[in-house]
Amino acid sequence: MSGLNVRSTLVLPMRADSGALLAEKADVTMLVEDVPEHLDTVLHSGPNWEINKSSFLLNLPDTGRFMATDGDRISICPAPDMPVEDVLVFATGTGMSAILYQRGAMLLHASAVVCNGRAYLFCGPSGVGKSTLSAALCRAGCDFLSDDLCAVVQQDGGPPMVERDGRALRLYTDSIERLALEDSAGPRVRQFVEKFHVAPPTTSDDGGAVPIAAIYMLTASDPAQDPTITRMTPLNAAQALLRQSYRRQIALAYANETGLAGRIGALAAGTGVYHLSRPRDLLRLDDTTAVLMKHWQSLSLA
Amino acid sequence: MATLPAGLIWLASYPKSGNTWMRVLFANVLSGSDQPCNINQLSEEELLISRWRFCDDLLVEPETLYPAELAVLRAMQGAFVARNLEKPFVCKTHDKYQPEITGVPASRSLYIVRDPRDVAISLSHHAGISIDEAIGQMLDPTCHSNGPMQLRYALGDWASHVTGWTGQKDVPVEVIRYEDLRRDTRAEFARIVRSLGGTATSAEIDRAIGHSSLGEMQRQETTYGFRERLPHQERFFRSGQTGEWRQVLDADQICRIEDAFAPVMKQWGYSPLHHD
Repeated sequence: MSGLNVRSTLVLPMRADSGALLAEKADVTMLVEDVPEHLDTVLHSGPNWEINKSSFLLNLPDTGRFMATDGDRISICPAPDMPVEDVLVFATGTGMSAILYQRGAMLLHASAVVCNGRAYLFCGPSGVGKSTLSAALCRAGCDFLSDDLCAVVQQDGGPPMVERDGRALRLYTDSIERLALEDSAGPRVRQFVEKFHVAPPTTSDDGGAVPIAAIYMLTASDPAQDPTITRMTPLNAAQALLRQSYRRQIALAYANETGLAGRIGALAAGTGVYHLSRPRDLLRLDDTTAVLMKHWQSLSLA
Repeated sequence: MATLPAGLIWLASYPKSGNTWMRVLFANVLSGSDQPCNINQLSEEELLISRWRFCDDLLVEPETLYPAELAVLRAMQGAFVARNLEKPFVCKTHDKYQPEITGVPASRSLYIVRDPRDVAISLSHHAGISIDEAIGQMLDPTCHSNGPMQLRYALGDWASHVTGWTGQKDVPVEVIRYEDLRRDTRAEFARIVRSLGGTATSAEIDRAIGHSSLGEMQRQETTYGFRERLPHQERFFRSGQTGEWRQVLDADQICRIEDAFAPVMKQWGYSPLHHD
């Protein structure tokens, strides 16, 4: 996940590949074990979470408690009568993001596809249509890179890159039907949630991180309007990127350790960040993919 | 400059009862600007009914939660936010009143009530459904609602919505009738600001009203669009009329509404045609 090997005794239904696990050394271990209700010496907190020097704790009453510790251990403690399989999504989503932040990562709430060896990211809040747009672009010939969470890395003056993720797309039934992905649909995200893990239509196998070509802030427009793409100023881009940090409050809590502000600033200054406004109507999905493809052509000619 | 006291103020109503207009009025009176506020920058994402805000505060995505889990976390979120506010936060909600969710330590609440016969017409335009379907929704005690950017929330039927908010004792509530606000916006809006513990000069009230006029909102919607408009809607800011039901609803439709809601309608000065 996001460039890390995860060892777990649990079956993780969100894996995009169904092959055998690699026998590499695990970076992170995921365990079912007791998790305290509170942490000692809390440094940051929210309504249902706490952070101290070594751990992040997420408390979902009647669902479970989850703890990420020292960047290498995710503890899962389901509430009584709650099957562990039904709470895994919180461990692999929020829990894994805390692990990545503890390891110094920069994460965006974004889905990403690859076209001609370059990554295109789509940022936006839950429900805005990131996964559906990514799946539609894969249908149009792109390769799938990451769904929902993008880990951005930048080394020694090189271009900003996105780690390839091993998690499947998560789509609602209407998007699955619109994209004719019924045969790729796997289990539900949770037992009674109408959202499904879906194997991406195409996945590049060459592994490793991919350089970022452009980042789009996805918003829903007035339904009558056509999709539009406008470049954001570096200042607006930096504000938008910070706002779209994955689990932003955790990112802010670890901001000093991860150097968040400097990395956001550098990403905003060195990468094209655009506002993509398009109607949410699934029937007009092809309009958006066409506008994007045209935009990518103009970027490659520039 | 106009002020409101720090803390959480619920701006509650059944849908299509003037909530957006009231938000625009508050945004304009508090902005202190000589230009009208942009209707597309009303901070939808910051509202406690927004999916973005929920995920930002609670670190889980609402669509991965079961209804009971969502309710528990919304209560935790509301209490946390209200406890830590250092500025005024006028927060729109269409939730029916539920002590565990909307009974959080808000400092005040403002409830807008509108003649349900006019609500039915506006709701049918907004939701792209027939007036009979809109009435059916208003009569449904189990009605829930959600939009792509909003949490799924319990709406209930129109009368329970009104009595739930206006009758609760947890949060001090100021009630305003939409029709009164339309009839004498200046006096009613000034009264609301005062009742919420705020201050605004007559000039600030007048400027806010001018910047929030139906004409201005329609001008912005025509020029820039409005992101809350739904695909089938010709426009979001439609007419804002009062008493339109007399021309639009047929006798059966009027009876369906009045049969169900007459006692509450009378309480708020909406005389039923068919119930003495």
